[in-house]
Amino acid sequence: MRRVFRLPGTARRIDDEVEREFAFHLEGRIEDIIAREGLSRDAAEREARRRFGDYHGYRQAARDIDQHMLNRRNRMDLLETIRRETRQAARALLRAPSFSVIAIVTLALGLAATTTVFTLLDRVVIRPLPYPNADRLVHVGTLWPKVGHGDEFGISRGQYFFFRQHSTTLQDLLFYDRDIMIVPGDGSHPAERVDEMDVSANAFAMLGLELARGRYFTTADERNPDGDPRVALISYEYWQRRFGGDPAIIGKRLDYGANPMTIIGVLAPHARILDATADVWIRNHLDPADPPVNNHTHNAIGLLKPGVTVEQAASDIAHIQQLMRAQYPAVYSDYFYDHTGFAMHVSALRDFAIGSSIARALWVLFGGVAVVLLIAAANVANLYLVRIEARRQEAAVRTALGADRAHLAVHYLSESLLLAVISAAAAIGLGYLLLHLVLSIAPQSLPRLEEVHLGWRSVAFCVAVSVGLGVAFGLVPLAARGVDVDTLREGARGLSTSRSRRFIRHGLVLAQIALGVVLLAAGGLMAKSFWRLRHVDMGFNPNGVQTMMIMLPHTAEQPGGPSVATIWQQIIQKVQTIPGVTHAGAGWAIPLNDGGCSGLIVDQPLDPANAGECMPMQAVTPGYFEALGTKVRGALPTWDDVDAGRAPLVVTQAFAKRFWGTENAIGRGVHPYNKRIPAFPVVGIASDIRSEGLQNPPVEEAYFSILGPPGTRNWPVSSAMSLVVRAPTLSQSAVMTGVRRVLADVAPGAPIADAKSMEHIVAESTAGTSFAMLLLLISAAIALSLSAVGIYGVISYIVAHRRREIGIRMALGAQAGSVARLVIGESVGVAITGAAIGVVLAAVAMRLLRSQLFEVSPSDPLVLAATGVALVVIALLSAIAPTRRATRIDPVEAIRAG
Amino acid sequence: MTPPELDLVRGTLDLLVLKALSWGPMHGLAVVRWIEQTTRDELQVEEGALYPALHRMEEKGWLDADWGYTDQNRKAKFYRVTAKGRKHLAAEHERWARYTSVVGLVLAARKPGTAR
Repeated sequence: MRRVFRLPGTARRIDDEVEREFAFHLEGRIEDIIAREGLSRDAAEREARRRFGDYHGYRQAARDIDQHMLNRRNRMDLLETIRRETRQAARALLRAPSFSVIAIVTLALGLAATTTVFTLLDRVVIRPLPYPNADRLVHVGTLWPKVGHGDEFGISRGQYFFFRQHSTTLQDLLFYDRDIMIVPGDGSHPAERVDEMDVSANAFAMLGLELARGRYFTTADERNPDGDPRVALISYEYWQRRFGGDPAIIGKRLDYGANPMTIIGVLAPHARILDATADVWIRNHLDPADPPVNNHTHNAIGLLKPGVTVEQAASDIAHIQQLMRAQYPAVYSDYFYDHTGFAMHVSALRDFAIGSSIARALWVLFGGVAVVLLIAAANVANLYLVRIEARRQEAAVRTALGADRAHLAVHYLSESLLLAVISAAAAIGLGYLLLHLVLSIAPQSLPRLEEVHLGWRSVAFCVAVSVGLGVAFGLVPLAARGVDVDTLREGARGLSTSRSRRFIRHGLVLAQIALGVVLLAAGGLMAKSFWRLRHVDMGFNPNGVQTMMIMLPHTAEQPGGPSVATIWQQIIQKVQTIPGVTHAGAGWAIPLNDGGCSGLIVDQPLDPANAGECMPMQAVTPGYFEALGTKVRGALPTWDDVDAGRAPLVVTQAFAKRFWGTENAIGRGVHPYNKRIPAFPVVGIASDIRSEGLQNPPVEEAYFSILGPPGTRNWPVSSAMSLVVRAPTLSQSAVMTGVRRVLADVAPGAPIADAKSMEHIVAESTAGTSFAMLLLLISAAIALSLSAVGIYGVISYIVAHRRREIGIRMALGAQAGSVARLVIGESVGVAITGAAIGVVLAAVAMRLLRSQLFEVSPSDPLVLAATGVALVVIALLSAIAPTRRATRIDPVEAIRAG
Repeated sequence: MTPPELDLVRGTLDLLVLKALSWGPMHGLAVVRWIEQTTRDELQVEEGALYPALHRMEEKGWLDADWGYTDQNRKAKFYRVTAKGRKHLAAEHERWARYTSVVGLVLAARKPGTAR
């Protein structure tokens, strides 16, 4: 390699040289002129400068050229160096193919797992939400600690106006609700249910929701005198699905329900508020003149003024709520406050959208794969140590020939960096596949899933981590001292490995086993949790149960025709006659799907203070419990009861215990909402149902009849209910077909939505746990196989290195058994120590998992012990092959070759 | 400033410099002196213009430069033609020769039809 050392190395030296060159020229010319023309020195200098021309211009031109030349040569030198080092590194890696392949596969596995989970974590938790000013958006909600299980509720219309008027920290506040609407069938489309979003007009600007065509809402023209909306926006997807992307869509009418609306615009694709999408967007009807009422069900998102923190906004809103309380004591009574623990809650929108438990779960998973990566790195570090051992001679020869430490460092670094870069490339490919696999099993409840894909940040992360590891590995040989000429003298028969290096190697295996225990323990705890969850008494039997939501169109009830209750009765009784259907019923909600709570007045409660509690409640038809497979003590409601106005009520055991302190509550009464509605008599006690998630305690719920006792007003029969059909021998589509036929007959134009098997609903509700479990178990599996490879490698190495010693022992009469004990003993020592450390580590680390676990202690002794034993067994299995090799050593050969 | 008697055709300076240096390594001053003598002062050029030309030719790889000492033991920057530079000179020389001979032919031509 020829280097051009003549070139000036810096801009300053370039200046110097040009200056000197020009000075030499002028001096020579002055002498020429004096000699030739006999001028004075001054005159000669003037003449020389005149002939030279624009001194500064030429100087600058020469400098520029030199600088350019220098830059180019530097670049070329660098490229040349990189090319040369890469070529040498590639040759070195090719010379040791088994080392290279094992190291690359190991690193790529670790990196791919880490990159995959990083992508998930980054897209879901770390990145700002995809809105303009995302960091200034906050969720404004309410907490009712004495009512809901830590859930967050919405705000009221009155609060919306009050906050907008008084807040000093919010620049803007948007308000939205989700609703559903029924779209009647036409020639080409069946009747369907569509999701509707009622938003304030500022939502579009605040969330950056763009239009594909048309216009947004304006204030002027959008309501009928009675407040019904006259105009609507539709989603891009709905435009495509229902209207085939009709270019003349603007101005078309949506003839849904009682009030037709005109389409004024189409939103850009994927319009959503947080995870909520909707097909039809309507401007919500808010009248500041309406008196505030205690109905906190609306979602609100605020935009902070620049520079305002979430905490400042929270105290501002809390303060304004106190003003409101003072101004409207009828709505916000002291009793209400005492009873509910009602409080405002302002949180960063991202925290609200993601939820701390999901963020924590993803961080735990990330920790898990980071452990996998650490194990992979320990393996590769170990391989490097072995390799250095083998290359000490080479390094010593290089040193003797004059290579200094820096040159060796560059040499080793370029080799390990090449390794790292190849691994990173493989990991990105592998990570891409892994991510797709992970997404296919990810629970639907995971927020922002649609934003997850492998982008440049993930690639940068992978490359950065691998380069970091590459540098670390490259420095291993330098850290391992002894790269000196003494090695040459030691020769091939050199002393056995030095104590310190043996210590490092054992330490790495120890760390691998310990980390393996931690990961396996995490996977094990999640698996046990999942098992417990799936074997908990749910209070219903999901096998063979189909559910779907049915909405009766507003035209279903005709004057003089059957009432809505009668229509439901006809539907359910006809569904029951479908061959294969054993039971059918309907209710406002089905277990594990969202339900709500309402105030109840309980007759003769245990504690009178409980009388007006907000409790989960719903109305159900006869057949509901039979279809769900829920056991009911006492009487099951029948259609005869309903027809006769007996208004049968069923409560859960937990409900009965809470209010009356006894499970034997038959004959007591409960008023839904308030005392104006007569009490419904309890006829049956349902076994406890885990409606709010299998991991949550059974609900205290009341199941009212769809018709109240005689004289009941304000107990409307819902026009939308969930149908529950038990048909163990029928497929979902067979049930659907049957129900559709019934509807065509009894309630034409009623759409079916959300058809799901009960088993599917149960699986969905545990999807978070099974997802975390799967990922942790996959990580643990990778970690275990890497650990096994690592242990195998080290024991093999030890056996190879102690050949001579073993040979001598055998020559002196040692039996194969004692040799095996010698080798196994060493592995067992390391394995048991590692496992013990791992169990202790796991016991501490698993506390992070606590919120993800169900009825399993983070330090579950069975899981921890089993994991520790599993790792020791794996270590022993990995040691078998090398041990057998050791016992077959031929003493003569070993001593001679030593 | 007196106007130059003969303007230097662009690119010609490179040719002159290469030709000058073809006798052996020279510093810039010597190149100027050589051009002066060879052209008997007919060809006038701002002497400073020589240096950007020299540096550019170094960048193109036609010349190599090195600091050395003159006969008077002064330190000066010497330029030497590289193999690539020689090749370029030969090509340019050839091109010039052809060009001047063509121009000569044109100028020596007679009115059409008068020759037989």
